[in-house]
Amino acid sequence: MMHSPYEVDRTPRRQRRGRAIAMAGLAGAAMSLAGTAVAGTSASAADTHAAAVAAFKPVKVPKSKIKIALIPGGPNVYFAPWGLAAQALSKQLGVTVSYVVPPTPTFEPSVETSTIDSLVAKGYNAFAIFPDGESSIIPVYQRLINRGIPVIDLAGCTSDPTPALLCYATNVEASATYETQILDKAIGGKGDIAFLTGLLTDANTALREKGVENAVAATHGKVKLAQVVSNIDSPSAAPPAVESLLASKGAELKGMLSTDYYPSVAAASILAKNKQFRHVLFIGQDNSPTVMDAIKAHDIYGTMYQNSYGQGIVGGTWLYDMVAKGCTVRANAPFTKIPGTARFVNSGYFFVSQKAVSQYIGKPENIPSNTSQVLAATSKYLACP
Amino acid sequence: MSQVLRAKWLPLLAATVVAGIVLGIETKSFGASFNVYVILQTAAFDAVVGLAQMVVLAVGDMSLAVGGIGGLVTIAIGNAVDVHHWPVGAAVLAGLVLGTICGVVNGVVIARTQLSGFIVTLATGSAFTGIAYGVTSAIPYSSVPSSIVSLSQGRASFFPYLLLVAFGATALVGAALRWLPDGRSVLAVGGNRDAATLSGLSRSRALVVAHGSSGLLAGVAAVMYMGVLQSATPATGTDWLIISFAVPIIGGTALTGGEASSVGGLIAAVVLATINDALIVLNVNTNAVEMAEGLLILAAVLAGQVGRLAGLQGRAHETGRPGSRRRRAAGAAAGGAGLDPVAR
Repeated sequence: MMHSPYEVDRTPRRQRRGRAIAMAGLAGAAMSLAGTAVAGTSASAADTHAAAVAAFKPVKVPKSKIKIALIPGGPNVYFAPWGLAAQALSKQLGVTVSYVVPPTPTFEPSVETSTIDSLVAKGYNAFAIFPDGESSIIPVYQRLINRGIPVIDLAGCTSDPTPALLCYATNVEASATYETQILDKAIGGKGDIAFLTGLLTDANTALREKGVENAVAATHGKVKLAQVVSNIDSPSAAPPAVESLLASKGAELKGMLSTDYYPSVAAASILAKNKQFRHVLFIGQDNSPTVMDAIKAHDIYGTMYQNSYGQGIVGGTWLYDMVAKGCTVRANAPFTKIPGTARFVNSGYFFVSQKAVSQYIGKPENIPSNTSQVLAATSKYLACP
Repeated sequence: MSQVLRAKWLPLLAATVVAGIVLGIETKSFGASFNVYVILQTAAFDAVVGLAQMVVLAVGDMSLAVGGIGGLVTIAIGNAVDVHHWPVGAAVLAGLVLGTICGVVNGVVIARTQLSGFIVTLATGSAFTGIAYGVTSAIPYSSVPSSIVSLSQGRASFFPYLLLVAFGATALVGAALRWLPDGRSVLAVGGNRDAATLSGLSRSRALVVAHGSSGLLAGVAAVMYMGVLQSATPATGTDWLIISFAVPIIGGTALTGGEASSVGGLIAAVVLATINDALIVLNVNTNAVEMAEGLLILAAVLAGQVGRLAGLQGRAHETGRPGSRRRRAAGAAAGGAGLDPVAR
């Protein structure tokens, strides 16, 4: 006979009652806000939602039974530093912190949800998750929260009113704006640029494009976004797309930027081999060896670093505080409001230049200063008894 | 000459050439040397991936493991070079042997269990991909030998060196299906399994040959991809599925087996690469790219049917009749010329 991992709840009655009250609040807030985008919600609705989240009391778990899971969307090099973070946290906190990759190279939501179900059945009691698909993951979040299991979004956010307690991720719109501003400056403040990006179905792609457009608009026509090439974040789609772009617009383009992994690798590799496009300054994303080597050789201008290692560290630490100490999320925490959610914490980004690249080669994506700043400010985000 | 005129891919090629000339006149950059190189390089990749599927379609089966094998071979070569410091030749050879073994395993399992290739390769393809990700923890190997990079990105004016690989693979597969006994068996079994068996042909052997060849070709495609990205990533092959079917089918290979056209596949690869390139050269709105790509592929397929509808391809049309399948199988068994129309 099959049992759902959520079927049996053996927690004390008092805790269950407390959670039930909190859940009623969360559900009420969710119902009242359902179908309403954050951008359009009133301050009071957002406050109600924040209060409902703050009312959530995670079940305290004895240290020997704490099992924290960091779950990426699927096997992807971006998330690899989470594995290192999980190892570091296990050692530092003395509890089980696991980096569990759903076996879906295509980031199938159903595979991710079944992975979470399996982990709950194995006794995992705190989750930091990169959400593959919002509509399918939110009911799973809700079931976890109903059991008193804390869930946070990591590296990607679900939209309010989400049951996720908070979202710790790169502010992709701001990062894209910053990246474009650097490129604009590098090309002398005027000229045509092109933007290479990922899946149109990924909500982050729209935010990144908006970020690029904002920076371009701020130049008042001096810099023109000549072309956007999207849906190319895969090993076989990126190279021909980048080459076709250079073939058609290489002569006019002064700059090019990417916010995704494979277009960055492809552009770095192609620019290194085709010196006739040397005048096209390129800023990539992340730290693949191909990109880092191309920066070192001055074949490309630089790359944007994200803080995936820090995401694992902060996510795991805050989940530990919740299940070990019973900490709750503060209603008045200094969250950033971004499109989609009002409970966002920026995990950081920065630009790696040709001058600085040597010190970052071979190291995991990491911004220690941001990680330590956020951890130092834990008391502003979590209320611990 | 008459065979060329009857070829299903001829109208497709004609339509592509006309479209290319129009685009070349409309946009100066389309006909530029570097852009032609880009199209031909992409076509070379796609053609080899398509061949990997075509040989399995020819035997009346299908493989969902082409991408998985590609990913595994990529990682095997990357690991051999990056971690174990093997010479590049030995690493590539080992990778190609591994790809062939993976394909043979598929063929043996399908032949022994009598299960559909769809089910078996769905499972093994997933397993191969899983191994590739498991071995690497999703982190690519970056020490791709310069000789592979030079092969993948090298060119003489507009002619990519990779196209030589695609030409070679196309010629070898076409010749094998036409002239080698095992190749003719593959087509015969694909055309009519029962008749082929009654004629004394081994379906099991044909399946193993087809899937083994598919694995080898997937390995060749993997090597080609490694050089472009200058990294051996386990994500290689994750998006090969559609292109692997689109290339042979648009090129005239029958989904039901018994009929294959390696040259048609090569032409189809050029068509698909031209479409992808044109959408970027023409700066088609990002939201309209998917729709435009679909409509253009449909137009290409319809162009491929023009000749048939005009009655130019009598023999090709003939191969679709049940009677002709029997004749092909009987011809194959007798070592005769009954397969001429199906292996082009």
